[in-house]
Amino acid sequence: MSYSWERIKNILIKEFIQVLRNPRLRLLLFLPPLFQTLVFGYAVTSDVRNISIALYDLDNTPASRELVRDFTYSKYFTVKKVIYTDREEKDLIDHAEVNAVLNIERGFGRALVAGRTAPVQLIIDGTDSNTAAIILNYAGQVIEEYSMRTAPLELKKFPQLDLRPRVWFNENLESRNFYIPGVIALIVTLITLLLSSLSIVREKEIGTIEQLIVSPIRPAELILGKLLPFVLISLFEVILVTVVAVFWFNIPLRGSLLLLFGATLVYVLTTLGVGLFISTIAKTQQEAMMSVFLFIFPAMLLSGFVYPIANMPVWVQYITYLNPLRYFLVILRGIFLKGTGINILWPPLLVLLVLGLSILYLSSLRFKKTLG
Amino acid sequence: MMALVIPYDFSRQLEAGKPSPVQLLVNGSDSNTAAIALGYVSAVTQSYNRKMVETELAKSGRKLLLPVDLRPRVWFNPELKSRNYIIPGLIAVIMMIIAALLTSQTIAREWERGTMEQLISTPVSVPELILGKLVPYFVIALLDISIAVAMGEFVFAVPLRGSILLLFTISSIFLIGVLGLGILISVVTKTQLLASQLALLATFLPTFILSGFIYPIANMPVAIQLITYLIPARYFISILKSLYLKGGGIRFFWLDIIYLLLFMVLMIGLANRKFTKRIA
Repeated sequence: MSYSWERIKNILIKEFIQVLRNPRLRLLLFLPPLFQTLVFGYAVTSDVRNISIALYDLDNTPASRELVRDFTYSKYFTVKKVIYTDREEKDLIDHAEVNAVLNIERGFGRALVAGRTAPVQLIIDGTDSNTAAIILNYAGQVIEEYSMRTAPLELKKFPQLDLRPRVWFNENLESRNFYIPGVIALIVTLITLLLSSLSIVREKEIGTIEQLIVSPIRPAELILGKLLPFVLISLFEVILVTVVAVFWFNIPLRGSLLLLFGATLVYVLTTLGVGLFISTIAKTQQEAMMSVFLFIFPAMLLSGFVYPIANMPVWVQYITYLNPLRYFLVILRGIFLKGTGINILWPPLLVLLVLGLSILYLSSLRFKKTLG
Repeated sequence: MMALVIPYDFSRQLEAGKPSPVQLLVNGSDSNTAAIALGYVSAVTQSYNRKMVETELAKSGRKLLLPVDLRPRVWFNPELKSRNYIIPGLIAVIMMIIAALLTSQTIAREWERGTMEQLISTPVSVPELILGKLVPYFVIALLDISIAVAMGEFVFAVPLRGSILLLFTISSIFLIGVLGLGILISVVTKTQLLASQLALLATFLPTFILSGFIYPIANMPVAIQLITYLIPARYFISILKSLYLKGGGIRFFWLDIIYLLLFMVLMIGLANRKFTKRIA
């Protein structure tokens, strides 16, 4: 018995009809990608602005007021409250009403006039370690500037190192330029994994898989017919997110669109392979869905999507080499932000191809076995 | 990540007492990492400058006296460990996923398989049915929370400074609400594929991103900040962080608890109402 394109086509058409006939499901192919892109575009920002602080100025001399003014007019800090007691200080931080309290002790101005070093205390809510670190950094800058301004004249005459940073690829350090290309990977992964694994498990659950087994269709044809529609759907999602990214959020797309589609095709080999694998182990759609989650959660966290891989412990870094999402993200960000072409991106593409083909092959073997 | 460009006449400029420019090229793709790296580099530059001043002054036997000395004190998380920030919130994320995703399938499955008709023909009432669907997942999720709390305590050494009883009480309130949400989704969608997609959309992303779990709500645009008030996980996560790191008691977050109670009542009520024992 030979392979028949006719049989593959029939399955393919049936899958398309099944996904697209339900108006709510149709909507769900549009809405989540849009929603996710908007959320990541607007809500996900690691840029810390408007740090709210409270002022606790016990000194109240011209010198202390000048320091307070420096904090008030710096672009990072917003003064939310002026307080007068220790109790208020503790309460504000406990209730997370402010991020930090600037505490100027009595004697600050006198120390400055006398040429002694004047201490200033900054109490920071460390609950959010990342924000706290950034606050520390900004406060240090404000103090340093104040220090240099009030320093004795002779100090200012010394030669200075003049740092001139230049940021490439994302000149304004916009978080969304970093995250939105990653959203493509997230959506493609989610859609292909869910649709492929659930659609096969549903046949098992409802019992229609037995009809398919007794039909002349061959397992390979069944797999192709089942998976191809989702490849097309994932390409559609890529276009959708890219359009929103470029035209709504002005994310630069500096590389080739063709390469973007090509890379997506190579990438979905792995996710469809995993989806197929899940469909062989799960007996119900509920099981399949939890398995998808079991895969996608670590895959997302260990991909560099949000957390840089370089900051992870070394043994975790080794695990990430097995994560297809990691390579796809490198490719996506390369294409979008750096405009790199295949001459630079071929190694991750090759790894994806090898990973994808082997996962798909192994899952197909298992799938055939469970069918029989 | 970065390239430091030091021009050929760098030291000559310095010796001549002129400011010496140094260029830093930064890969800005990851804006957050880039911003932090920039902060580190400017700190290094500052300390280099200070050291130069100190050596200059030392030649004439003087010492550098900086006018102002910043003494930061970080409360609740003095070592600035990010795990102390992430793990308490993770409890909420795990609960959302386990509870809402699992229950979202339960009733849809009955519809899909046709067993719903059998259920409808039995004398079981809607509240009984909902309770029956709820309790097993409630127990499972409580077990999951216990595992998460134990892992936080014994593996990651995240301090739990508040009352563990309070932690479980509030978790239960949130949990019942989330389970109700899952059942509501299941009742409305009636197919498992649709239910799973909707549950993901309604739970995973908002809990992950719009709740203040990782990204501080204060940094979001105002319109998005208003939306976050509708995300129950927002209240739960702020309670969890306060309980864990600040050792806060009810007087710190009674308002958040009221919101969670409201959410619970609303979800169970809606699920109860939308659940019709009829073949539509």
